[in-house]
Amino acid sequence: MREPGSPPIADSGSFSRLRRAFRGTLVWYGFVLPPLFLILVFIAYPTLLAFEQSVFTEVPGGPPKFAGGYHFYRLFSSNVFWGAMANTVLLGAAFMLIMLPLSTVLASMLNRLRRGSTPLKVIYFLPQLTSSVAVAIMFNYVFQPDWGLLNGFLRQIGVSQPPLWLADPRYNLTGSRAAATLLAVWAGLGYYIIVLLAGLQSIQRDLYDAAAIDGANPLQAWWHITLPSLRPTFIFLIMTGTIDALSRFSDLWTLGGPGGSPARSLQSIVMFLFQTGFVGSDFSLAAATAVVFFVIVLVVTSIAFWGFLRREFRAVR
Amino acid sequence: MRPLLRSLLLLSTAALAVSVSGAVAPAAAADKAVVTFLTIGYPDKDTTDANTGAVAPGIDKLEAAFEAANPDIDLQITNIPWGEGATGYTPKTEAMVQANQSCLYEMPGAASFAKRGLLQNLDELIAKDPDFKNVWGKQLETDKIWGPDGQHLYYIPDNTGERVINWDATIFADYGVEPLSKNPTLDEIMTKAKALTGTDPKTGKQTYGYWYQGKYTVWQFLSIAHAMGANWGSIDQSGKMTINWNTPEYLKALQWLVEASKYAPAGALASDAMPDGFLSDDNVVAIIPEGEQGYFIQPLIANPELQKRFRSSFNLRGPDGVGGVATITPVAMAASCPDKEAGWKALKWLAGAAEAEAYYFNASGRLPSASTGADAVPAIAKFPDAEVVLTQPQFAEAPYPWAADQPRFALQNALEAALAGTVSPADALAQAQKETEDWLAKQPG
Amino acid sequence: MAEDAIAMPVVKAARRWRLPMDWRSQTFFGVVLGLGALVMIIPFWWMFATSLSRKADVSMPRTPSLWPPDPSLFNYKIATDNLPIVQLYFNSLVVVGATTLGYLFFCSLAGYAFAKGRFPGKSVLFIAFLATLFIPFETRMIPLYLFMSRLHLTNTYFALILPFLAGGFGTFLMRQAISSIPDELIEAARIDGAGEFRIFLMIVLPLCKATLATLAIINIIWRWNDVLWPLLVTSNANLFTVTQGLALEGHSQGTYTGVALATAVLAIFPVIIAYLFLQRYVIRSVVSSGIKG
Repeated sequence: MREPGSPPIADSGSFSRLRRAFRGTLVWYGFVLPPLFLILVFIAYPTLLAFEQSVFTEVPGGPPKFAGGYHFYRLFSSNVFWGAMANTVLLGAAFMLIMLPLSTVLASMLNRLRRGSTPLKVIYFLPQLTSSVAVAIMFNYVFQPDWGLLNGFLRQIGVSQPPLWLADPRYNLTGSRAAATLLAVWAGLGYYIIVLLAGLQSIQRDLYDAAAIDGANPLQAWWHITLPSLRPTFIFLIMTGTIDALSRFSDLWTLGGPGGSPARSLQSIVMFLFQTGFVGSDFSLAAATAVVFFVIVLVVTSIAFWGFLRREFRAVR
Repeated sequence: MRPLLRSLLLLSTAALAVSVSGAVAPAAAADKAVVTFLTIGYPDKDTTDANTGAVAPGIDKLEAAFEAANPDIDLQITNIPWGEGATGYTPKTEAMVQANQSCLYEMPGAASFAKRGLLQNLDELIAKDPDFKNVWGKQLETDKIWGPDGQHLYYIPDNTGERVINWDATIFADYGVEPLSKNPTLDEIMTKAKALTGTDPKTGKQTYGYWYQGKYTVWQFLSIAHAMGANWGSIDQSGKMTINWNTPEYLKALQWLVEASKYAPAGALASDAMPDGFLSDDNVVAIIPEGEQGYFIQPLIANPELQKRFRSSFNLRGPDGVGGVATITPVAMAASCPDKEAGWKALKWLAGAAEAEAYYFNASGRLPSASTGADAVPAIAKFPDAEVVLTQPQFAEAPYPWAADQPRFALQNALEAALAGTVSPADALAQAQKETEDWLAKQPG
Repeated sequence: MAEDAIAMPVVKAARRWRLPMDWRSQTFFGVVLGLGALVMIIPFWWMFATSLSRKADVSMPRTPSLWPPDPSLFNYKIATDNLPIVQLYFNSLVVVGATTLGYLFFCSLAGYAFAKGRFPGKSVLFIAFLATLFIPFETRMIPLYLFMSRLHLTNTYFALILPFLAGGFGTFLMRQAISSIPDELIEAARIDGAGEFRIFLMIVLPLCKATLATLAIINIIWRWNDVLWPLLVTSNANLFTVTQGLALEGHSQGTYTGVALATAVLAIFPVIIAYLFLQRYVIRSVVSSGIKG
């Protein structure tokens, strides 16, 4: 496969082997290295600096003192930390269990709708476009139990004891956790739909044609063709969605204030991290939290990777 | 794809072109000392207030006034918003301190920065300064905090907030209830809150007797408890704290608060501010403790009609004659400040000059912290409760050294749980005490 | 040509199959999606209505209403008087445009390698890319700020752009999209003598238009709504973005609801336009994608 005009080379055998190696393997590093460089400089390096603090204790006016695992011991013996952890998992699971089925059904319908799908897509996407400050203002008012929008509506349709929403820390379907989950679903739905739509549109038509010939009805086709074909998209959404759910912070903070009010029902792990670091100036403990968070997500993701993607990674070419 | 690519390319080229021109730092005149100052929450430029229509002066006005008074110093102010959550002022302060980017700071979290050895001991500068004049009174004593080597002055307040008890005279009149006294007792508040909860005899609206700022209840609770004789604890010569939440006084105070919360709207627990409709005809809450200066002073000045309806009484006080959280804004100097002489001169002016005090009041309703500022706020003198509004700051408790730490959040959490009814007051306080002791025992160093 | 002839009856069969169910399913979809859209839009509509109410700055309506009792543009006037709105829009446009272009490019680059390449260390590198998602930005923002400060880049557009040019999210999304491109297509191009970069530009990217447009939308929204980093790294008012400007229009206590919502409405329009514009690519790609041998 020598190209015309390429210069004669003395050791053409080893060169072409090298060239084949390049075409086969090395060229891929050319694709990966530029983004990898950016990631190392702007993400990995600052992160390592932050992590470093977890094994040091700040000494006033002097160099930091090595602390070994002391800050991790402080972290693991803190009930507040474990409470935040449990709460994060609970809120994340509730969110994903509602979001994935709901967005899949809606996206599939949107994808099939002949007319009017564009305005609908814009409407579903509006919350994503709105600044979080405005969303927080709106929902603090929507959920206000005494004179808020939602309870005003419920009273008008005859509910005499409307829920307390954000003022109720109990584990139930009308308390603060439910309100925060409703808000997250409302705000995030458009994003899940748009990612799913991109996935739906990369499914090849001939698959459906073949199913039609086999006499499958549309619902069967959806179940047996659409859903399996969305596998890469689902894997993507489950993995990134889980990570997102675990790192939830700003919406909970705007609803729950610095302490995850009421009664820490809206406290998340990243909120705990932020509160110890930036409110309490305990940066070593915050760094230890970040390390623990990193390890947890790394383990979760590695398991997911191993389960979902490993075979795909091997199977290429 | 192509038009998309082209438009994005165009944008990024524009970005690069502009970023080159945008990278110009403000140049300082060669013969002037430069002092940098981080301020929080003032308008960047002259701003029209949506409620009053008055124009709040931008931070450039403070800079101009300073340079007119101190021609040898170039003051460079970085003004940031209070913000919310992650976008709050704390990360920016931390980043600028670590990068040594400012000399002076408005620093609500000064206590922890001082403990970390990042602030200049101002006692040293006062000792070296023959011209020093104390216009802040005993605050220079009560505001001393713990640095790495003992208790010193690390900041001077440039202005102060206050917490009064606001009440709606119209609702009181509708029910025929005696107005709230200037120094209300807990019993008076409870009795009247109860009487004022129900259906307003004149308007027919549902009214509520009491209010609390759910997410910040801890401050209100502390003044209630202090009025019942409770004290949070003490701090020894080395800066080590002892904190007692689990005492009979605190328990009594929490039971009182839980009782009073029955007369407040259910949503108060999730609130972080005044009730909606406050300072308008739609107000339905009669007694609103923890009324902060920023909410009511400017609107009452702009609309004197409201002064008759929305009144102010003194906050609760303990046996020692003080009570309520201190809400001063500290100005501190970074230990790394390159020109401490100019920085100190600037700090004295920014915290003590009449022009500066007037600016803080006009821009955001903050009250003077120095005696020079008395003339800055003539508009308040016309209030029916002028005495309360003007003198309340003198009765605040000394700043709490744990105000940003776990003891506060432990107590706040306990209050919320008790108010929501998920935990009994006694259990809630025991839990807060356990968390606090746990935190105190594991302080590094 | 011969292939087309064979394909024809299949297409016809497919059409016949869709017809009988059509109007019923279309109506059903329309009703369900319409109801959902109603739930989605009510809070938003209410936000718009409230932004027109001057009274909302001190007191909110106690009963749900979809039109303010006192409609006026007062809040919009205050918002535009108080903010240098043109400069803010320009800055946002620069930052969002540059980051989006870079993010799409670098993420597709890595995504292609992870989808179709075979090289030692691929799995580990991929997890390393993904790992960028495991670190909340709040953790690393201070070290990143100090780093920028050492490079003398604080208060420049570079500080707002450079940290967001590549990331695990986009790489992962692009990898998933590219992996569904049939290998035969790429193999055919290789046999024709095309280099990998050429294949990437001429075949892979055009086939991923829908996903690229999706990623662009997502990134535009992230960068447009980001306040945390801009607030930290710029303090020169000439560099503020729209969302940052809104955050700065704070008061010492509380916010005026009407004005805050009016500024939020002002901020939303450019993003809606960008969305509608890119959204057309998402739709058009349905027609153009698929294999045309």
